Amino acid sequence: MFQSYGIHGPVLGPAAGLVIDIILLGLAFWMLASPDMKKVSNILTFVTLVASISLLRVVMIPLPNIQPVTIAALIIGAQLGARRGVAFAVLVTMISNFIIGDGIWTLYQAIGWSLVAILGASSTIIIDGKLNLNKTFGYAVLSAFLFDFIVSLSVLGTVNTIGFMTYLLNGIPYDLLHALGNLTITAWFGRWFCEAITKFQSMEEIEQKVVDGYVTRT
Amino acid sequence: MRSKLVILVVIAIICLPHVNGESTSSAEESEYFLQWNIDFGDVYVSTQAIASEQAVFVRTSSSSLAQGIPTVYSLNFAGEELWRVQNPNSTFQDMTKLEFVKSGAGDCGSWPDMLLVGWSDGLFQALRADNGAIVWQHQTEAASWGITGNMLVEDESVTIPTRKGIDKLCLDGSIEFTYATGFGWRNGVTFAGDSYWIGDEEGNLWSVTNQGATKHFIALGKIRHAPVQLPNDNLIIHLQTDSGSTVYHFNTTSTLSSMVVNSGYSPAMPTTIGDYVITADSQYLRSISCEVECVVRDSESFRSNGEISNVFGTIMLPQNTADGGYGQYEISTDGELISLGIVNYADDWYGTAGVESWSFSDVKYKLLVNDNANLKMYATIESSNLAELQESDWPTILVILSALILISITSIQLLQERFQSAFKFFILFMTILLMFTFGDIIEAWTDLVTEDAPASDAWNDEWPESWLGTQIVVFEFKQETVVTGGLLSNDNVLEASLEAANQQGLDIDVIESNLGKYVVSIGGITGEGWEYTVNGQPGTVSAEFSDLESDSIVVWKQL
Repeated sequence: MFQSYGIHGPVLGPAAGLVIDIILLGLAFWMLASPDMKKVSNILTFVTLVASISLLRVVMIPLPNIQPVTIAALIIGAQLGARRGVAFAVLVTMISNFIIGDGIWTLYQAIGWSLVAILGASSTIIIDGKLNLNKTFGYAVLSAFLFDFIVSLSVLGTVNTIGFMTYLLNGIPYDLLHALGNLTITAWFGRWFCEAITKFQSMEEIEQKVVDGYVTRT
Repeated sequence: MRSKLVILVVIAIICLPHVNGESTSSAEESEYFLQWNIDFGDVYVSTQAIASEQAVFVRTSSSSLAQGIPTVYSLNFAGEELWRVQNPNSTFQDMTKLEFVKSGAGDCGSWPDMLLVGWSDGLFQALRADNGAIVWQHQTEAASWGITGNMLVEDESVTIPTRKGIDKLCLDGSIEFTYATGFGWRNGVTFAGDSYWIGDEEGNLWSVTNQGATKHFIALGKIRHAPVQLPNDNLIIHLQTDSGSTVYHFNTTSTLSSMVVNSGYSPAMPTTIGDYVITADSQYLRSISCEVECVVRDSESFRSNGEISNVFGTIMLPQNTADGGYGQYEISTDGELISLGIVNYADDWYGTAGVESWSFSDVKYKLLVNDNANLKMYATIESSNLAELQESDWPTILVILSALILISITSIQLLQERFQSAFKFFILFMTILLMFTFGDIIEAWTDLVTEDAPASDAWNDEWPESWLGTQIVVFEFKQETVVTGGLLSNDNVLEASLEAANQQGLDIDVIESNLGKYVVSIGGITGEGWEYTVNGQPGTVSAEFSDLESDSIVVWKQL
């Protein structure tokens, strides 16, 4: 909704842009600084996840407001937790925007998708490693509007209240398309994506057990 | 099970394209097939529909708003409406034929492809042929009614018969001259010699140049149609009298007139076909030769009071009776009128509108319309084949095909009670549908929720007054401001900006994005980006989706 090309957010100078990038990167690494992410296999898998979703976002740019990152952030947040969800959201936003176009909106998009990841983490859309589709559909729609609203906040300061309301109203078709795209992605790829992450975690647990057993024996 | 079938039927109904028009031919002529038939309702149509390379145009008329609002329609060749322009003030029987003008430029300016419309309330409008937006308009005096006669379009100008005179305008809307003549009704204009010629309701023929207007009395009666120009620049006039009508020959050099023949009531619009002048009225269709002096070559009993058409060498004229239909005649080299009979259609009624005809890729086309306001297109090819001939829009076809496949799979899944799977296909179908129509949805939605600010809010008094009422585009660079005014009828911000940039010799880089076209740089300057306002209001959608009025002021600001 923000990138509707009429209203721009506050203009960033190079220094301000750098500060925002550093803050976002710092946030991402802080979020990743958990014990399980010290394992090389976990880091590699996480990097693969970030890279593939970033690439998918770039590839899907010609489709108006279809955002695969939203559903990915929601499910990753639900499956891997809020910390890794936020790290994922920040890194995907930064990497994909490096190709698509960087600016103040990167900050708002990162915040928007981070909130979606936190929303996912606080939800119960995944129980016993299985995605509850019906619940996820609801969260998918909610996430679209939440993300678009957060990104719309970037124009505050450049328009008055009426202008902001008009801006929000103008964005409703974009929000609807985002929501519809989320539903489609969830319906077609939600369970597959969730299972892929679950398998990764299961393998990790097995690996951990093997290592623990070896240590105990020795 | 029954409820699922109901759902299926509803889905099928939603997805079925709305087909307009008849699918079977009712034409008497075996070589022509009906392509479509549109009923415009209680209004009537008394002037010929016309066709350009891109569209069909037709005007409806009425004598009261209860009957319907007088409207000009643009249709594509499948009979689907492209746009319409209405004039609720024009309820005095619109009988001025529409004229299409190709885009061009001349000494007095430039203009896009336009449809010229004269209204019976005196308003004359030049509309963009592609969207109906007003390029310019000119109000003429109305006394009970305004413009009712046929205009004359020349290379760079249009000459309009007004209620009380004649106005000549350049095709950019600027006035070349305006002169008073007599009161006229349905009095078309002809150019012959060095003058424009127009009749009035008192039997006068007026010659008009840019120096003034001169009256020539012909006879007691009414000259209600454009005189016919002969090869020697003399004229044929079909004058209506109390007892019928009389055809006159008028010598434009000596300004003397001579009677050719007395005829019936209510003359049709005389015209030239081959070497002969063709006249018609309530009694006769005639061919007149003017090789040495004007003499009647042949007469046929026929009642026609409107437009006479030359349809691929055949004379076609509407029979103005309750039986309706069209008389068809061939004319031999010696002027003999050979009747080919009357062509009748299911919705025949009184009529005065002529027949538009053209050929394309060896296919002949005809547009027929009568007082019943039923517009029909016929072609010498079956309608299913016609669609194949028309330009294929592969992306559209693919999307429609995908949508049909998806909805079919959805239906199958529903029948097999696989609801989750059905939902997967249905949601994909909905997404594709929304994406495909997104541009139109955004435009419509923006129009709905955005309150247009008046252009006066952004007007700068330092700009020339001639820019008032036109579109203005301002590029505010950090170092300088470039202003372009006098732009006409651009549909959206992007279109106007591109035209302004072109006039200023600036390049605008535009990229496609997932939310519409995005202006990356203007004049090679990217800066921190560009944002636009329309009449001082910040744009809220892509520039390509932001519609403009004819007097909008667009400001692009470098960030």
